[in-house]
Amino acid sequence: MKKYLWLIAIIILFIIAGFILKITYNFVVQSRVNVEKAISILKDEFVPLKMKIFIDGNKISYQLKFYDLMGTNVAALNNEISGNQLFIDFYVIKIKDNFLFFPYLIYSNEIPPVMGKKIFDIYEKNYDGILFPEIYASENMNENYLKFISSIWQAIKSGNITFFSSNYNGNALHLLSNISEIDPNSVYEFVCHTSKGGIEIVKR
Amino acid sequence: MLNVDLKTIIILLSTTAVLSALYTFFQFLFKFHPEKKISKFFFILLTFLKSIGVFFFIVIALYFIYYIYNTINQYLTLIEMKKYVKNLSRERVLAKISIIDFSENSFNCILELYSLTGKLFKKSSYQLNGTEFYLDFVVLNFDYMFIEKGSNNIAYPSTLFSDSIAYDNGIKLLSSNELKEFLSADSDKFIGLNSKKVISLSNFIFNCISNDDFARKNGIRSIIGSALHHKIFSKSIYKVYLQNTGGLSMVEENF
Repeated sequence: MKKYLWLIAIIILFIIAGFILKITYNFVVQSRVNVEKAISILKDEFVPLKMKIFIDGNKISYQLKFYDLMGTNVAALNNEISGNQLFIDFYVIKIKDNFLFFPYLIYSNEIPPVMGKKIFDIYEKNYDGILFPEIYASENMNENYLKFISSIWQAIKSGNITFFSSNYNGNALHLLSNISEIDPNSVYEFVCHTSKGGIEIVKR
Repeated sequence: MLNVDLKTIIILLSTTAVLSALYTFFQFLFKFHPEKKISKFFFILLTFLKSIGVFFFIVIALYFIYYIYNTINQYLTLIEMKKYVKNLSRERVLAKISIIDFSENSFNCILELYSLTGKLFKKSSYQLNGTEFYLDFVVLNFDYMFIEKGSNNIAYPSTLFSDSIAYDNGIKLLSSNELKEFLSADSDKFIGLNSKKVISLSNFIFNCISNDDFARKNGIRSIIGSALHHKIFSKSIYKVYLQNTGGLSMVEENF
């Protein structure tokens, strides 16, 4: 028996090592985000933001409403700014042939972007300690999706987007119609194209 | 198109019908009931009314001929406009910006603008204060029923500014004359249109750009600005693409 003690010890060590490896593997797999599955929840086209504006002389009064992927209103912002063209700036990030859009800054034709108003906090929601941009809330969202979107969100807010993707840019949209043509009762929708990366403003 | 409303047409038509009916009635009386004597004055009045009726009928006929001619003309123009917009809406590179030098608070860049076939239209160097470039484009969206979704955007470069320079203080990239040339550049390469037609349609677009009222009446759904921008970390090259499903996108060129 004593002769086989070392063999038994080795076998026990192997079992313990295998057990530890399995736990570690499960932990790594679970903590790793499945990007393809997360992206499949995104829609081809969606409207995260709608706007109404009123321009009086050199002052713009605007109302912004933020919507999730189901079209539910999740946040709103009313404010004023000097100028006669309102710029709504989006971060556009490309991940695996799909684009994500995050409105983040507001300024005008008279105000340089560096002095614009940041709007991250307006549509941010806390899911048990995980900060999430509510415009990407979906009826199909799961833990994988939540982690995927919130990790990108954190990277954007901290200015560390290159960690996720080298393919990103900003896109600031603004209406060019003459002041008299901007109808204060009309709603302007920002339509985001997930597969192409473009954003349009459509008047309804 | 002549501004003749429906009410006027109906009045003219009704008057013509009434006068024709009166004339017919009295002609019947003259021919089949000569015993019913009618005075000379009444006869002259009737003839005069008949001539008015004929005149009204000619006016209405001319108006309808003019209306049909105009409708056909507008339809043909729409078909040509569809071809023009479809040509310019093709997914393609609009501009390329190369960062050649940068410091903590300024940068030097070369901006290349491309026409329809990808030929270089204009190349210029700029130096601006700031740490992020903003390249603004004007995007026209058409709402013609004949122009299908996905081929209904025209874009042209407008202004270059930065994160520390407001849009109003930015650099205008095309003068009015250059814009006209840009819209009709490579006119011989348009599919389905000759050069003359392209130039005439580009003048039409130019009028839409300069006149909101004209634009709205001629089917432009929206004219928006789209400023693509990127933080400057290195001497990189960025290309701006027109997407045929709406909007613009920017890609960093990697070697």
